[in-house]
Amino acid sequence: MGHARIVGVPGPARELRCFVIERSTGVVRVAGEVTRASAGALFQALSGAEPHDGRVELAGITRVDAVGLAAVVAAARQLAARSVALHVDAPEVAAAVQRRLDRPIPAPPQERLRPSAILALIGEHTHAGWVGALGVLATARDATVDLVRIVLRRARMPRGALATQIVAMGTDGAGIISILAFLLGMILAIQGAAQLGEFGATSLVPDVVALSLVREFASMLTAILVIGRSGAAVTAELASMTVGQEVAALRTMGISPTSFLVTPRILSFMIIMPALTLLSMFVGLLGAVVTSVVVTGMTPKLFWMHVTDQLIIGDVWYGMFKAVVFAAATGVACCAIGLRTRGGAVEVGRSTTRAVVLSLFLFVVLDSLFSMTSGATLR
Amino acid sequence: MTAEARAPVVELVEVKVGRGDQTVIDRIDLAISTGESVAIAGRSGTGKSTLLETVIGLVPPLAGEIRLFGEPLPLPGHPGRDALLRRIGVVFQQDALFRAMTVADNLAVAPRALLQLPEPVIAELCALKLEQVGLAGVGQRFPYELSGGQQKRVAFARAVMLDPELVVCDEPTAGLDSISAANIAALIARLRDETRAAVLLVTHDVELIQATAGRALVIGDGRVRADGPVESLVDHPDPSVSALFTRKPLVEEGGVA
Repeated sequence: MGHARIVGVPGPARELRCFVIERSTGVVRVAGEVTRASAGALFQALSGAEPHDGRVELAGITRVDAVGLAAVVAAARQLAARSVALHVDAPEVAAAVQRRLDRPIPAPPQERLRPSAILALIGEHTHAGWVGALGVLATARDATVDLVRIVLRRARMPRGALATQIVAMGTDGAGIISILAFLLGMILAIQGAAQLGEFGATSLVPDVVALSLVREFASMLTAILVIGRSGAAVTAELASMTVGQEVAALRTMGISPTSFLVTPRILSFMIIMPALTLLSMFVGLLGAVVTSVVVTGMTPKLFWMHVTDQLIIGDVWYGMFKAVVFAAATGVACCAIGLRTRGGAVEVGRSTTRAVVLSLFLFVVLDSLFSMTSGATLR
Repeated sequence: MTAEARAPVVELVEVKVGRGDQTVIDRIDLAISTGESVAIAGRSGTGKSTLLETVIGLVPPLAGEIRLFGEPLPLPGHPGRDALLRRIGVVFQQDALFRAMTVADNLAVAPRALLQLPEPVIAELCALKLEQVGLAGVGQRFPYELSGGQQKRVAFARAVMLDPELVVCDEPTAGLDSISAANIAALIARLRDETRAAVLLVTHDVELIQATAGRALVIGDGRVRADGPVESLVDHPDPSVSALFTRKPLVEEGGVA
């Protein structure tokens, strides 16, 4: 004996034409119309049916809308997979359902990862990484050739392009870098005083701060900020120009995107990064002086004597040279990834993320190479 | 129920259209009933698109009242507004497809978010609507992998996903080749005939108007210059109206238009 269940689906006033289900053995009775208000519940009721006689009858439908039709058809497909026939008593609805059933819907893409798919994924990523690396190297080569030609006066950069980039990267970035460098100097001085104080060597604070700031932290702070600010901006700009076919337009005009877009930006990075590094060296030391005066009571004059005793001009050059190398790597990476963006607006965001990550990665790798080769020995 | 059935699907009563302090149409009265298809025509810059955005609630009217399905459209943030707007399907001029989603996911946005339908039902509905616009099988592709005309048809399928009672199209054939444009016109005509949905078109495509709209409003100089059956507008006494339909170059009094 079957059991009956009444399901009323509440909905807004105009949808009150929805159905009532009475489910007994093999029969689902639906009064009225199957519309979007009731379709979901109807699908659940039908696909959950467990008929004894292998047949579900859908009786009493007067009208279905598109959502209702989709629900009946989706349920019929599920029932068919369990060898249960669905019989619809309204001829028009039945015909519409049958028409849909005759057309298989494309299976959704395979979500589960099989071992072969994982291998393929690894292969794809490796290949993409290889192609990306070649792209970065190609950009580096093109820009180098272009720079040499400019130096030899065989080529020219577009008028004003370099100045525009320098203003965008440098002038606008100087403020935030100064603030952070000042704070960094303060932190180094406080930490140095705390650690060296244990050995009664607070007088060595200026030496420690000056060395670490000038040789390492100034260029590090500047690189991170420039990558985050200007590197991301350059990639996003070039990527959206590429996606919007602006770069293609340049090519059709016979203008090389390298000399028009890439070289000014890389050059600008290579000018701005050391300049800002120099700025953060001085401002950082200023922060350290102020802190030392307040915390350890050292006079500014004594602080400065220690600094000039400890630092040689080569340290400043070393910090700035590192900055130039970081700048070249950042500029090449950001321009290369920006110009190789394919697809739409979403890809612009992805490229920007990729460029910032790659620039930071290159920066850390290069900095560790600097430390390994010259950090301690060359002084 | 009966009162609602009698009421026009959309009704503009003495509406003044504009943005901020800029008025583009001084006064417009308009009523569209179920199964009726109306075109808003006029040359570029006459405020057609602003009028359309006013109807669908994106731009508030400067004066007058907009009634959708017999009810006044509540102000943004007021209860009942979304429920009314959900009964409208909109095809935007720039498609407005979500570029990061597949075609199927684009179509599934409203059924998922508003109806919480089971996924098999949504998949079935997507297949049904894609087939109706002649794009069966493109569900797993991304919009940028399709041609302009195909993207427009996807936008159309997304707009009619939940069987809206009013479909609003902004320049649905702009930028399309003549075959794609004819496809869109056929889609709109079929939509009007099969689902009895009301259609409001904003366009300056005369062929589209003639193929799909029973009635047209011509807008110009901040007012409705003509309103009537499309055939009657061809030899309308106002030359700026008839010129739209006969495609004669128009020279207005006092100089070049």
